[in-house]
Amino acid sequence: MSQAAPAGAQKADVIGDMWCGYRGEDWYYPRIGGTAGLSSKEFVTSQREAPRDLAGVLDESSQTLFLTELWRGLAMTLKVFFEPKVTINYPFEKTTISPRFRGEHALRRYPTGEERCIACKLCEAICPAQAITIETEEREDGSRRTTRYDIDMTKCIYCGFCQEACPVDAIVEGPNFEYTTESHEELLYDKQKLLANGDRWEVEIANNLRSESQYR
Amino acid sequence: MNILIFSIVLKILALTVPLILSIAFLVLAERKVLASMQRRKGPNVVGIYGIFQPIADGLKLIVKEPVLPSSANLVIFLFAPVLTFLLSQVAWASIPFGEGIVLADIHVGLLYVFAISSLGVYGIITAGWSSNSKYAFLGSCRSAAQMVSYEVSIGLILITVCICAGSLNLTEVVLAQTQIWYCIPLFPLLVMFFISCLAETNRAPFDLPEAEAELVAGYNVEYSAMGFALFFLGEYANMIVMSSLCCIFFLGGWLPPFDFAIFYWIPGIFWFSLKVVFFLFAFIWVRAAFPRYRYDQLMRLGWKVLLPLSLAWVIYVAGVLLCFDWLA
Amino acid sequence: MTEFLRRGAPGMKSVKDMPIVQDGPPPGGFPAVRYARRLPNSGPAGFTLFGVGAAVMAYGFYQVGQGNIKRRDEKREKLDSRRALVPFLQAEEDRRWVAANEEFQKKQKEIMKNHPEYKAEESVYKTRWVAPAQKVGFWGEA
Repeated sequence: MSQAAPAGAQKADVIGDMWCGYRGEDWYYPRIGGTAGLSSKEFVTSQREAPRDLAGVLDESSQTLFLTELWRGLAMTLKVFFEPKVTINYPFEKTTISPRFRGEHALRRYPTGEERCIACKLCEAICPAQAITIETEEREDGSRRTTRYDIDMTKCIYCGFCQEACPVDAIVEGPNFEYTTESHEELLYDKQKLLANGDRWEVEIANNLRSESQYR
Repeated sequence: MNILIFSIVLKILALTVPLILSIAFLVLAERKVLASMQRRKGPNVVGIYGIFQPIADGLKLIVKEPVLPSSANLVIFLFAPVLTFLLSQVAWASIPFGEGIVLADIHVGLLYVFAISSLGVYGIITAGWSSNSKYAFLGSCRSAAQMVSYEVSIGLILITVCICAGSLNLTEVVLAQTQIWYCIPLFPLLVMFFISCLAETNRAPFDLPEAEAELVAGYNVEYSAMGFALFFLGEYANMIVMSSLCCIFFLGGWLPPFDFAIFYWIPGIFWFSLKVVFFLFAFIWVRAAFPRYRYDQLMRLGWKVLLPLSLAWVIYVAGVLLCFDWLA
Repeated sequence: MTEFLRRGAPGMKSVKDMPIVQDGPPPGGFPAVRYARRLPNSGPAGFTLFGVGAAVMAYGFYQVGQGNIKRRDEKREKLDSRRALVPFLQAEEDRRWVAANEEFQKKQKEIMKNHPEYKAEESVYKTRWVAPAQKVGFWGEA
């Protein structure tokens, strides 16, 4: 460092000695660049000399005998004891959820009512857990649609790759996370369930997408 | 004769039933206080503010199936928690709650309590040994060694207090503090006694032998349901005994803070309970505030720091009192 | 995704006028971040701690001494009063013992009056006195 070394700096203030302490402060923090710029009360722990004057000796021994830093710790704990708690009463109180939250999957539709999914199978290809199973067939009106679209919610890792991969925003991860079931089978979602999800959650999913699409 | 037996049984019940209730609620209080110091609420679902939590816990432990390891020595295995719990209850016999309100006002009350806490080591050793498990045994060895080493400094500190009070009788020790509580001349001793009590009862920051996250509860790892419940209750009863000892020796037992007549209207039991509650809060406070000692640091503290210091205090206090003719 | 960017919002002349629905800072901006160093007070110096501690402890020991002197005197007073009472208590006990002994002797003579060889006044011990083997007997007798 280009600053002049302060009066108490030792000649071995090497850059490698990154940890130093401050007497009276509860935290140790790394100092990049050695000890240049330390005030008179700071020291590098490994290079600290024992004090020789009476005041210093009394300071040090009073710290050991009267446990000064322990009382400071206790005081801080007591202060926190009286502060308001951050616990929320979960089923009756809930916190805010980000619009990017990845929860229960849903298959969306266009405003006309036509389902968005065009059976391109990009989501099935990218799913890291291979949770999506798709079978396709040409529909009566000639459009490309799935006959089978299953997501195994117990395999799914909720990474959101499927919603990122989908070119038409058909499969999305909605904001719902409270869909517990009492049997394993109920968690193996099929196309009907996913479409129903989509209809139920469409308003909120559309809202979230409106703000999030600018970043995707 | 019959009325005598009846009255003694009644006195014992009047002591142990509130004690067990207070242990149960101490468990809840610890969880709530610890939580508050960590900026969260503790259990608050079961009753209002979680009041029924200990009942729920107790019920669960009672109906749970006790698992007995097949290779364990069954008699000693089942006896160890019983012994621990028994000793923690028996220690209350000579603790005075007020003027004359003591189950057995023996003239060597202090020695009695000290002896009971020394016997407590047996419970731990037998628990670890009979579990027939490496970790349990190692945990119990460490725990027993820790308890024994801090008992030495407890003994020396108690000797100092006895020199000031002139008697081993606990009521006499409290009455000797009507002039001034011993926490004022002997405040460092109070701190040392408190630290030794923490180590004696295997409480944080000296709870490595039963560190819940590290050694899987040490010597009582093989215990489930009732056995575990008895160890748990015994540990908390020990905690309350140690708090009340701190209170009796240094904070004036059931004496009010100032010697004015108006304070004596409030019964001594209330002052005693207040002080014990303060010390229990301190036990929990210390657990929340400080990290755990490593085992070798713990043993070093007991033998190389607290023992010489308390010995020095014995000599110093004895010298001062003898010099000025202030002995009792 | 681009169809979510609303097209044709009223009053729009170019893409630049599209209303933005976006995540951003709260109204009024974020609160300021404290980045200055916090150097807390390091508490009283060693001198002060030792001095205050020594003073408090000295006062405390003095009070302990006064209390002990008081207790010593009270104990002596208690023992003195007990000492003064001893002759009266002993006299009471002597009175009781004499009366009980008279009773016993009378009863003894009454019961054993037909026995020729029994002399009521004689002691029951015929040999010389021997010290007891134990200081205190099994049931606590002398």
